[in-house]
Amino acid sequence: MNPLATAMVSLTLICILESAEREHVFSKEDKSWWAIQPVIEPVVPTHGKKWARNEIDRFVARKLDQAKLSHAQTAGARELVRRVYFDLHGLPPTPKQVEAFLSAHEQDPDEAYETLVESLLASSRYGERWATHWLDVARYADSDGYRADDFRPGAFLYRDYVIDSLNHDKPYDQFVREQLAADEFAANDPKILIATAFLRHGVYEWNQREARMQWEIIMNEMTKVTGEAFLGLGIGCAQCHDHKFDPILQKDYYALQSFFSGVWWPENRKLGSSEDLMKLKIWKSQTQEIRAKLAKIEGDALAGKKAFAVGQFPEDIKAMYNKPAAERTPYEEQLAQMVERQVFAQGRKQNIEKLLEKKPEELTQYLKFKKQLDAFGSKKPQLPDAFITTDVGPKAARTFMPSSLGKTEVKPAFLSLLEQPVPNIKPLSKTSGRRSALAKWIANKDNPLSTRVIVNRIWQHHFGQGIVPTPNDFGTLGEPPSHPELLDWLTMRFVEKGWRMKALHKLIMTSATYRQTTRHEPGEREKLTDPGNRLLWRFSPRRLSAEQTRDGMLVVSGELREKKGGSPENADKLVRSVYLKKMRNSPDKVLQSFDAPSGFDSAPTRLQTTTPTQSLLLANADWPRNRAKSFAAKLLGNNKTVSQKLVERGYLGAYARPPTEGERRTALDFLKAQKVAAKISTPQKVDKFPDENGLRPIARAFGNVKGFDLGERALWLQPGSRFEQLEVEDPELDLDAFTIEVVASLDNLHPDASVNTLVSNWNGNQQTPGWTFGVTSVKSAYQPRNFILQLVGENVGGDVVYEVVASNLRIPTGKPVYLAATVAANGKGEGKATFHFKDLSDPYAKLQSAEVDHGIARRIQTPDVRLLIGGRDQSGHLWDGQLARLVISSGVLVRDQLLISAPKSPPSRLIDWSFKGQDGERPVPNTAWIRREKPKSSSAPPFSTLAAVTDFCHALLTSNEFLYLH
Amino acid sequence: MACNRITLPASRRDFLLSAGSGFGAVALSALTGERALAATSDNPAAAKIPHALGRAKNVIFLFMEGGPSHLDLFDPKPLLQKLAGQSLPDSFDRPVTAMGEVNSPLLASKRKWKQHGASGLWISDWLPNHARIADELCVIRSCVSDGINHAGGVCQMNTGLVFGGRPSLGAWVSYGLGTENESLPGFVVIKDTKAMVVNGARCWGSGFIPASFQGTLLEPGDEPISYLNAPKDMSLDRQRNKLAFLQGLNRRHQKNRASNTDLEARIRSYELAARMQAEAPEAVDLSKESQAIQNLYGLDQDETKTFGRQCLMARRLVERGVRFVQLYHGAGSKWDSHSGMEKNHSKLCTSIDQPIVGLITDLKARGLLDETLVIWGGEFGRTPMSEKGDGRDHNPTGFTMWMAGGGVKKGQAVGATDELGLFAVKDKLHVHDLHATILGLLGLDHTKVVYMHKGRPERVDLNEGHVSPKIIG
Repeated sequence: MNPLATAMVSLTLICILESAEREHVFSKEDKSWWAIQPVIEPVVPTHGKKWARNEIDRFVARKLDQAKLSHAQTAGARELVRRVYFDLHGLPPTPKQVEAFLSAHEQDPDEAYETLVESLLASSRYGERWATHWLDVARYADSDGYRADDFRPGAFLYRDYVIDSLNHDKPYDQFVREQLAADEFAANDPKILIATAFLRHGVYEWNQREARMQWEIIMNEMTKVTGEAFLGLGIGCAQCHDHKFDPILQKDYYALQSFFSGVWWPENRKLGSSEDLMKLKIWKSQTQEIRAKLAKIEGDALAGKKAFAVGQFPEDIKAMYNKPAAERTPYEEQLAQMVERQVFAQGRKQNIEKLLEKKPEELTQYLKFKKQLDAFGSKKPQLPDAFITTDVGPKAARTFMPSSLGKTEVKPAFLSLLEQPVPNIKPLSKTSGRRSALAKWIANKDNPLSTRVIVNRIWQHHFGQGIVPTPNDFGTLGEPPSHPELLDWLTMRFVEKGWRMKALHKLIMTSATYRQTTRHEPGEREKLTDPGNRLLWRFSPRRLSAEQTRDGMLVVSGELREKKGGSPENADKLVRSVYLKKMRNSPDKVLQSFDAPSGFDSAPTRLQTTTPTQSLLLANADWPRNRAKSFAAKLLGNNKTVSQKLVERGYLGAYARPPTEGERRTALDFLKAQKVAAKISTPQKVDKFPDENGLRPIARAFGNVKGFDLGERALWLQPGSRFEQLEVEDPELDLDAFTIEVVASLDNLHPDASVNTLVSNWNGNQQTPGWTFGVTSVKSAYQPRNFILQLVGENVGGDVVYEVVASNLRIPTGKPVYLAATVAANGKGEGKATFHFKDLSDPYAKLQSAEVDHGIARRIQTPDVRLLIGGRDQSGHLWDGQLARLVISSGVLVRDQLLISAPKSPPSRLIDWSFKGQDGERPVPNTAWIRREKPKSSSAPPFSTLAAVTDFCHALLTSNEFLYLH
Repeated sequence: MACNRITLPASRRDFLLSAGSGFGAVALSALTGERALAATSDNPAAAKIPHALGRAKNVIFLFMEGGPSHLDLFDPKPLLQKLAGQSLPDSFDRPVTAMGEVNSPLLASKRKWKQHGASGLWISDWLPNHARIADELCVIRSCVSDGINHAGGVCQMNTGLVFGGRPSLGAWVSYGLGTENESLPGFVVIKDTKAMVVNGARCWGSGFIPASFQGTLLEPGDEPISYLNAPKDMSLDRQRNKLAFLQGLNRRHQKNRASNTDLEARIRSYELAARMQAEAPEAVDLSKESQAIQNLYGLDQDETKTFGRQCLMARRLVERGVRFVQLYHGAGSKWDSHSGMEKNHSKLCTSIDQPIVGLITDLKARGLLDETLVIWGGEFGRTPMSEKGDGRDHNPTGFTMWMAGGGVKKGQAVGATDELGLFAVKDKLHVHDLHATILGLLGLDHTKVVYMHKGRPERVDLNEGHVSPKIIG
């Protein structure tokens, strides 16, 4: 069923031309503009008899014959398979896929090829690849693109809509109608309604007070992108004057704009199915009372902020905003909504509880109501923000065309040149109906522009260049079509087959023209008559696009992670590029470097630049290097040495072909030489501290510390030296309750989330009971410098659980400190840890303490795990600093029993260390420094081999043969 | 589209054979060490106008981000002192202001004003050392922009439009003039702090023209250009071997594919990248400068050393053939002074005063000033009306910029604002005109530096700018 039928839009033929419209007389030349001529069935030429596979080739052959050029050979199977995979999926074929195609190709080349095209079109990878083409045109991004560049949480649903539409082979006319006017005929279908985000993707400045100007900019942007995307009209020129080169009048521009003059971007709305929205409605009615109370408190709290937001607008805009909604004209409503957006944004930034801090009574009320509301939380459906477009109401704002004589009102109409009847538009209940009327005109099989424009875009992406090389401009400033009859013939077939793209893809890809090789060097004749290959005497070589480059490397390295739609990911996630978060002001470095557009306006073509900064990125940046590392690991597998086989698999993975004998030899020579180079440069573990012996004079870090019975020296724990971890031999620890006390200094935090561990009895495995005593680092989820215990033990149910017990006491670096913690497990799982901390460099500092509950019930030790000072029983997580005193006591000590209270009769101490003497190798009896061998897992290849193979892979992935389809 | 192919006629046909849209050719000509724009090129951007306009070859743009107050620096207004505390008289139009304080009382300038040099240019006591260069300056008091907010203002001052997506001025200049040093980028940007410039990298982006013309941000530290250095764990030998192997792969692949000039361009671009690695660090190494020169730029004083370093680096880069150097002072809108302007501007003015004087003096002493156009200004000025008692709001309707060197008519003030410095009233110079004039000073006809984009002949000035004859000497 035609969805428009329900939209109650009727176009009646009114053939009255107003006098003003008669003023412009179009010349004969204007009227003969090729792009507005009706699409007619051309006569298929008879050229290319021996070569042609379908009619496309006949048209191409005629042009080649006329120019006395000839077509190229058919591409070989390997060239074809790589081209087709990149073209339809944006990904290279895996060696297996290549192999499968090759053997099928040997049996029956044509059938193998057609089967391949069909199966790739049927895969959802197709939508992920071809969506990018449309998202470029739709200037899609996930952010505002202004100073704030705010994230747009609901925008990605449009990206998924495009992918799904392509994968389901949605007829293009429907695709157009949905994007321009889904709210007028599918308001209840969230999967279709999101299409109207097309009208909302433009950049937006959230704090612009010049509301009139901003609205004008928004309207112009919408007009321009519609003209370019659907009609191939660079109509922007006509904003200020009649188009200087095309027969487009200034009036036409505003007539097109007036189709949008009712629009509005709802701010505070959710996107969901009727069922979801009904649930939301029920939740709303159930919570109405509570929410009203909350709204009252919030409203009062925010009144000042809101007034501030409104107050910044000019007087006339304020007046519109302050009017009752019912009294606003549609235009005033649109501007008032612009104000409302800022008021809303202002409110969203505030923390209500903070605003109510000085009104404790209201705060209590507020928290109480909030809690009441939270009780209904499970009944509230979690729905995304509706990033959609609709109208302010049935009545649209008036559109005026500015000129030197003043303003003239303009009504919706189509290009004057086409001499088509003015649409008679009937408003709907909630919208003006105007966009449906526009959509109906654009998505009409008789529209010569929209139909040719989309066919040309599809051709363009297959061949790298359109039949019209300027896909957003079919005007005289663009370039004329190279094969106008072919464009018409394809357009006829496209419309005839129900505007389906997949059929067109297949038609194009099964032509002999598409199957030509790129390996055909131009002779004098080609260079002279058609150096740009517009006549298609070969398949044009191309560089991979930004997404093909990034995604291709991920496939070859074996790292590509599956993702099917959903919220956009950060750049470090190894998913397809189409799923990355596209922030206009901070684009992904790899994609940007390879000419991905930034989304500020409709981008019909991609540039293809070659710059030294691109080469620097390929050679030195982490991203490509990490892909090479993974690729190398994949090639090596369990092998410790390189082999011919490895070189072969490298070539197959990156280039979809095996190396020649010469290439194999060169690669092996390189690997050999590079292994030597890597060996020489392998960072030998040099002792950076040859004079250190593990003990330092106490005065270095603890000179001003009084009390604690410190010795003459302090233990020196230095990561990277011979003195990293000290093992306590045969400790006897009380298993259920003990107290650790230290006087120590911490010099540096780890730059990552590792724990600076001073004392531990744990091997880092979360299933192995144990404990550590330490401080968090720079990237810790518990904030840096947090004094913590890590406990692993059984909970009440007998499961081994891991828990971080954080004191939230912040430990300074480079200062002597006293730290103490008591650990106690109790069988009921109601354990408690007590922390104490004092900065010993500050004479006025007080002892700070914290008590934290934990759920470990029993067994927080494992007998064969070592008790270590300076780290845990594994690599990493070291302590960088000094230890002057260590006391471990049995039981949970109370404050008076702690070292810091200098108790007269101290409790029994299991370990009681201070340091003296010179023997750093054995600073206290029954201890030994752990000198770990470099972890040498038997299966891993030596460093130099891995390095050499990585360099080999890096070269393959950054070479021209990988980066070009040539 | 054909117009965009910047090619040398002798090899035009070969270039057109390059892969895809043919833009590889642009980079190639830059990479082959040839000037992209030979005199006989068919690129319209090459249409220089000999002798007709300016002769500048380089630009140093000192961007005071956030909007410095013209009313307290270069544009004294006696009436403002008189009406201080009152509302804007009814005879003045009400502009739309960013913070909506259009009716707040007028704020007097607390500055002491003096005329300086033979030209008698007015400069306030916030810039005491500028007295020494007064006769070099062409102060434009009638600048106008459309951006009332920082984002729009900075975007327009850089790209001509309040919205993103267009090429920046530096990119247009690189496009129009080509680059002179193949081992350094043609357009370089240096910020004073870690803070990002409003709108980020698109302030120096290339918009819809090829990325080869975009600005390169120089970072402090030993890697001034992103990814300039080989990874730390990679020895020189290893890196060299790897590149040689890579270039071997590329050369072998290129055989029988000579028509695809992109392939050659990429091979060259690796060589160029290697040259950059060698030359870029030297270009920004200020230890090569004498103590006297360092002091001249204020490197010996804490308040001035940061911007002094930027200015000195700018001179070194210009000397090495970098076309367009943009220095951001106050990156992240630090000149924005909605309140407490006295404290804000005092500090910022001190930090730029000596460095700028040092730069102009040094350029002149080296004979570089004639061919180097120095531009000073922000995205807008500030209002005569007060904000929050002791600050001023944004004023894009009338503000001051100045130019020096590069063939500008020096020792003069051009244009005027009204009696309160709110609107430009005489010889208005819109950002489009400013851009057109800058191209003119570089000897380029701004109406001919054209890039075809989506069927429209795009220009730096959006087809609206005019060269100001009063500025060009």
